[in-house]
Amino acid sequence: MSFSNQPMSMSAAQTPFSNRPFSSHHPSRNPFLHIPIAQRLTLGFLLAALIAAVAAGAVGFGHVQSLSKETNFYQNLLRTNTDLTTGATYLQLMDAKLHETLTDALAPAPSQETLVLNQQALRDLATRYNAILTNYTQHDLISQQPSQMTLLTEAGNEDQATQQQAQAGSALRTWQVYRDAQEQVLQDISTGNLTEAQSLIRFQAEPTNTDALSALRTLIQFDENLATFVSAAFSVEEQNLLLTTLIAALIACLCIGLVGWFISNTIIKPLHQLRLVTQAIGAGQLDSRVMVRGRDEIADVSASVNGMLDTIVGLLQETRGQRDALTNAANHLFSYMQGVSAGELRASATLSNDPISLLADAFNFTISRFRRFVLRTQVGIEQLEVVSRQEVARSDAFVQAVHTYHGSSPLKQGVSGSQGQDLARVAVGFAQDVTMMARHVGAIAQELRTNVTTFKIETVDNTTRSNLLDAAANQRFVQELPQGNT
Amino acid sequence: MDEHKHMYMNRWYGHQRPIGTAWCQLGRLTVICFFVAILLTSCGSTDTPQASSGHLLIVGSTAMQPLVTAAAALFEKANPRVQVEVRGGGSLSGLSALVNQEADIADSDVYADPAIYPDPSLTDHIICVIPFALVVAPDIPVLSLTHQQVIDIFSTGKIRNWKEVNGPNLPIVPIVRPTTSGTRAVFRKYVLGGRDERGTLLTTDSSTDIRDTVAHTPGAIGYLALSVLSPSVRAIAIDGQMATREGIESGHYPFWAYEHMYTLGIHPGSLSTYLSFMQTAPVQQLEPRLGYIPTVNMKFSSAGSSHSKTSLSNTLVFHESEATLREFF
Repeated sequence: MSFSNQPMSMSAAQTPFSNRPFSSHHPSRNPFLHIPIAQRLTLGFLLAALIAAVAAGAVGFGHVQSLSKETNFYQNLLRTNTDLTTGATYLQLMDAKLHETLTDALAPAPSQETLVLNQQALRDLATRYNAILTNYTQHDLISQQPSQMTLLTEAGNEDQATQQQAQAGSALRTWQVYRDAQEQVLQDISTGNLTEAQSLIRFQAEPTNTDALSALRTLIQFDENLATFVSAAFSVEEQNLLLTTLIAALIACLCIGLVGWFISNTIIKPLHQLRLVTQAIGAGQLDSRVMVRGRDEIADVSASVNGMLDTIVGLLQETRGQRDALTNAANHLFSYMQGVSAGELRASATLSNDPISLLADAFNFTISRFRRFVLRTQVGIEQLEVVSRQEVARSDAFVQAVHTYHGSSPLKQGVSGSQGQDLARVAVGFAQDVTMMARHVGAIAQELRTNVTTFKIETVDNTTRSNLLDAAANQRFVQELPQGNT
Repeated sequence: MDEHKHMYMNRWYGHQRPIGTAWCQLGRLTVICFFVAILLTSCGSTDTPQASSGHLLIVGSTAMQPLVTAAAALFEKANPRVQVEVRGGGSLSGLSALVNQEADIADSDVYADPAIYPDPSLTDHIICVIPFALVVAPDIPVLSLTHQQVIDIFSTGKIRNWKEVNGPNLPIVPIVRPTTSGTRAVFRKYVLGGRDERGTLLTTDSSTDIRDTVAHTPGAIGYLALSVLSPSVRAIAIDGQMATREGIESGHYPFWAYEHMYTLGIHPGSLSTYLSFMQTAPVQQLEPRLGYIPTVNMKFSSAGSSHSKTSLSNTLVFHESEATLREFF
């Protein structure tokens, strides 16, 4: 016979997986959960390092760019400054040379060779200066250098570019005027028109040379002032760069934080679930399980934990089932015992394959033995009743016979010997009957006693309780006990 | 055993998400850092130079004076806390006032001689171009003179009568400015090529006097800045070129000069604001109305003057003027 199980407790909440067959691995949305943890962490650190390196590299690159721009600018400035200063020297030399040429020409015996040499020198100087100035005005103005223009615009001084253009035009014009004057003077000298040459030098060449020099000086000064403007622009750029660095650092921090958060989440989340499950188990909710996601170490542990929990729950349920079955059987036995205590002596406890059935079996045996005892006792009682009835009838008959004898003759005259012998014979017969009856009763009592002594009624130690079928041993045992313990 | 079938009815702990307290902290940190960054930006922004309250004294050229006065009025309107005073007196007096630190700006028609004013902080700012023109009385029908004719009239004296230049039979009376005149220096330098002038000498260097003299003296010829030109006299061309912007840009017209504002160094504040202001559009538009030519969009040319024998490389650039130029005829 099988006993029915109590139904296992089911969770009230339905889960989405209730229709799928039980599997240890559920499809995970996150591909990272398939990578082992060590590799994941390595990947995370490498990614963080990469982000930091990229950010630092970009910032460094920006700094390098800015610095190289600055360097280029100052290099350019130095070059143009040197060129223009050389040009200023040329202008002054031309002026001096022109005077010298005139002085030579005014000498009493002018050397033609010297004159020609001086003229060559002057024309050469003029060509050189012209080259410098035209080169500068065609290539080196700010408005012709886009990088410098952007720098200047950054500093907020873009109107300086037009001013420089005007200055360049002024330098060119004044140079032109002087050159014409110089040429005129040389022609006058070569044609011998020395007074004209002298006056021209004094009233045209010198002033226009001065003008050209003044205009050139303005250009040179402008370059120097430019450095001041542009250094302001550089500082602005530097601050922008600082801001960019800050932002880049922040963004890098954010990205690294994100990466770290993401990767640690892939570890922390499953662990947290594990923790919750174990806490729930500890709290008593035995139906909680971990959702296994991915294929990494944590997933393996989660699956193992799930299996372990399933085993435990199974064992628990098995134990409970057994306990319930035993309780059931015990209850049945108890109800039968109750019946017995009420007086029914039916040995009919149900038997099964568990220890309770041993108990039931013993109970059955005990009951049956007790029943047999009771039956025998009943038989004895009936016998006693019969005997006692017989005895009562005999004794009534005796009494009757005695009364009859007593009544028939007066006892004072003496009893005849034959009537007295009859009475004595009847009395002896009655006494023999009574003795026989008493022996009968004694035999019945002995039999009853035999029945009783098969059961031990003295208190004995539980551990030495032996087989109940060993009646002789029990009797011996009872006889050996001191008599006062009944 | 069919007990397994009940296992997925169990409670699955797969939906809990651990509350990221670290994420909240990171978010807070980010916000703080952004605020810091914004603060730094605002701190680091270049301070626009404020025209602080002050007083600017501008001394010098009378030729520039009308323009500078008008510009100063505009500037004072834009910056009420700055006072600008404009005086005349001539370019050289302006320069000497500047180097003696009596004035803030010197208006000058001439270049400052580096030998006379060697201060390395003396800074030249070109404001505009001032065109000059030869003027005659309206009754002289001559429209143009060649450069050589001008030289012959004013210097060598080879031409003495208007009829030699297709004019009426009238002696030519050149009106000459005093030697201190900046205009005369310009004329000598750029037209006469350094030669001496001969003619009726005026004692005062007043453009209006010249104009009136030319207007009322028959056969007179003089020269003055276009800013003081009036219908009482008529400007004539040199080598067929009138005193226009295109003529000056191309280099065909020689009789013009730059107008300078000299300062000692570049100071931040009201001075540099004023100098920048002179380059801005309102002033640039003001200039043609007063007879000046703005230099802002002017393309310089390295063309040779009509005197040069050797031809230099010319980069002739014609540029459309932004402002309308009223031609004074």
